[in-house]
Amino acid sequence: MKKRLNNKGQSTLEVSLTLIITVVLLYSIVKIWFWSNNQIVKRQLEYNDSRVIAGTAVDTYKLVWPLNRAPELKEKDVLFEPIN
Amino acid sequence: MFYLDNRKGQGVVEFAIMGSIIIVIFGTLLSFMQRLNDSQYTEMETFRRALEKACTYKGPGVTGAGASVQLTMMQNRLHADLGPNFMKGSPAQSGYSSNVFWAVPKVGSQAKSIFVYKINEDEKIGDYNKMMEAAGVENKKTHTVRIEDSTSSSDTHFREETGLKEDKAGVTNTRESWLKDTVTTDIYYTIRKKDSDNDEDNDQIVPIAGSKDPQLFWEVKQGLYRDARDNQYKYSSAILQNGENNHEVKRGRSWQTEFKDEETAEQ
Repeated sequence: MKKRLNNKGQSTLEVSLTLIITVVLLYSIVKIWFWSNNQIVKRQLEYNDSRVIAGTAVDTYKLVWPLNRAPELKEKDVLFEPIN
Repeated sequence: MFYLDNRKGQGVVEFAIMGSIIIVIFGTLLSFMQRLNDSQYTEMETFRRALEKACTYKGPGVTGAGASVQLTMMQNRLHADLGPNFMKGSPAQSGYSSNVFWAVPKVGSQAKSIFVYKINEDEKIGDYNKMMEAAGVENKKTHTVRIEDSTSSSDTHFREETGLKEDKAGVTNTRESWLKDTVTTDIYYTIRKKDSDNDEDNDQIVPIAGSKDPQLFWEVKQGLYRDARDNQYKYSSAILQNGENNHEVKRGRSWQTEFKDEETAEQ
């Protein structure tokens, strides 16, 4: 009888742990997804802002690229003490 | 009885299956997100480069400035790899094409019509008229230059080392990897005589040097390197000029645990 009760508790613990990890993973996926989408939106705004300059013919015409953007995620942001 | 003894592991097995499925979904979404990001970035860059090329092109014998440009970009990138290899990366390719006609030719003369292939950091310009002249085509209005399928192959060498150094001060772990990647891209073309329908696929191929096979327009071999300006991984043929074995990319990290003696710990 005691063993049966323990078995039920075991299952509850395992499900709780699984659910916590699942929620953390899903949260991470959603956060990364939002980060990616925000990159595209920010980039588009800067692209639109430089559209007139890029489409104006002048004698000193230069390539309007890359966009003046904030630095993206770099290795040092995800690795601690990188070895070069 | 045997079933009852194993019931404790039921949840773990279920988690193992579910965890694997979640990681696969996570990897798929991550991969899709990177491809979406890269393709959109390439799309923007292609149009800006086509604008610049169309506005500033001054080929030999050109009076005035600019041209009708078809610019195609192909970029090889390294995407995040969820595999066990340290920082190996997963090769991916994105491409896009843009057409811009932005020419101011001298009155009475025709604007130049060119196509440009930019593959990673290398670029090659093709002139439709010159290619047809080289093939002996006299009436250029009845013929077209058509870029056929391009082929791409890569040669990848990857090695990895892990290290553990332990002394009185603590434990230092290191993990390093070396990656050497070379990509070769071949682009072929044919010259076809237009027929009455709009389907270019069935246009007759004009033989070049006695052959109707697609002719090589450009073969470019490029090596992987890390651009110090933006810390991005890129491919360039220039990196192979110092020898094909001198373009290895090294990545690594270290982490350490410090030991404290009892006296220090008490303070």
